[in-house]
Amino acid sequence: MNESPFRELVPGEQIIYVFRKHPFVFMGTALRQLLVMMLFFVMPLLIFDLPVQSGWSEGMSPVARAAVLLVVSLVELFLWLSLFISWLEYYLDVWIVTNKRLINVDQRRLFSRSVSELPLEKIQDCTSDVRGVMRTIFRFGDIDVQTAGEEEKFTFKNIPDPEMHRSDILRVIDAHVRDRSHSP
Amino acid sequence: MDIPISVLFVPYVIGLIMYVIVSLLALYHVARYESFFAAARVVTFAFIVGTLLILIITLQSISDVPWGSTVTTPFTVSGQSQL
Repeated sequence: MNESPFRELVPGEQIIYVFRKHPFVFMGTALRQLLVMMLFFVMPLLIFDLPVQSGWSEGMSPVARAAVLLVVSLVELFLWLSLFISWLEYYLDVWIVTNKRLINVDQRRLFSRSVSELPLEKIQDCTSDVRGVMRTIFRFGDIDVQTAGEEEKFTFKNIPDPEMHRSDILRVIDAHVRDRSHSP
Repeated sequence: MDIPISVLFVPYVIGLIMYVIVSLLALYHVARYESFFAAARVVTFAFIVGTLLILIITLQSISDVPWGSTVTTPFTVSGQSQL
């Protein structure tokens, strides 16, 4: 049942690090969606009770009241579902560093997932990039992994503490290269 | 022509069915890829609890609506006005 890339390791391969995007990335989306949910939650109160209490109107008819409540309920449910899917997209989007390769699991949408990998011996350069006020304050940024020649370039976006993780990746690459040079 | 208020439940139930289908697809992703992580289980549990909470609040909010009553419209089924 479980098809996580953790289960796709070759014999002798060990997971060294698992990176996810900084929680700040998800928190921004989550706060926006929670704010909209709150607005829809108080909307029936504003529509039904305030005009009556203020004496502006005698209140809505039972049909209109029922219709508004059911619509608000559905909107709340779908906003809640949207928040869950946003979390899922955040959580399933991972970078896995093993002692043999880098695996990038890119979860773009609920039904859009790509898994790509890069053998450690092909990596030539690894750079970290932190730009912007929020990124500097919350310490997250991008890591670019460059391979030899014109091969694919991996960019890990919005990784927490990219400098430290860049050092971690370089350390794993060094260990891998040493192992390969010592192996017969 | 008299229309029962309870007819409002038809689009609501259709919406609920769509919600359940998409939710099951999302939960399938959790089960397929990340079921063994505690965080996934906690968030999935929170999602289910939140869904139940919204449904319970909805039920409480609509409990005072007279669902058995009907609304009289000035139109017949054939579209001719009764006015």
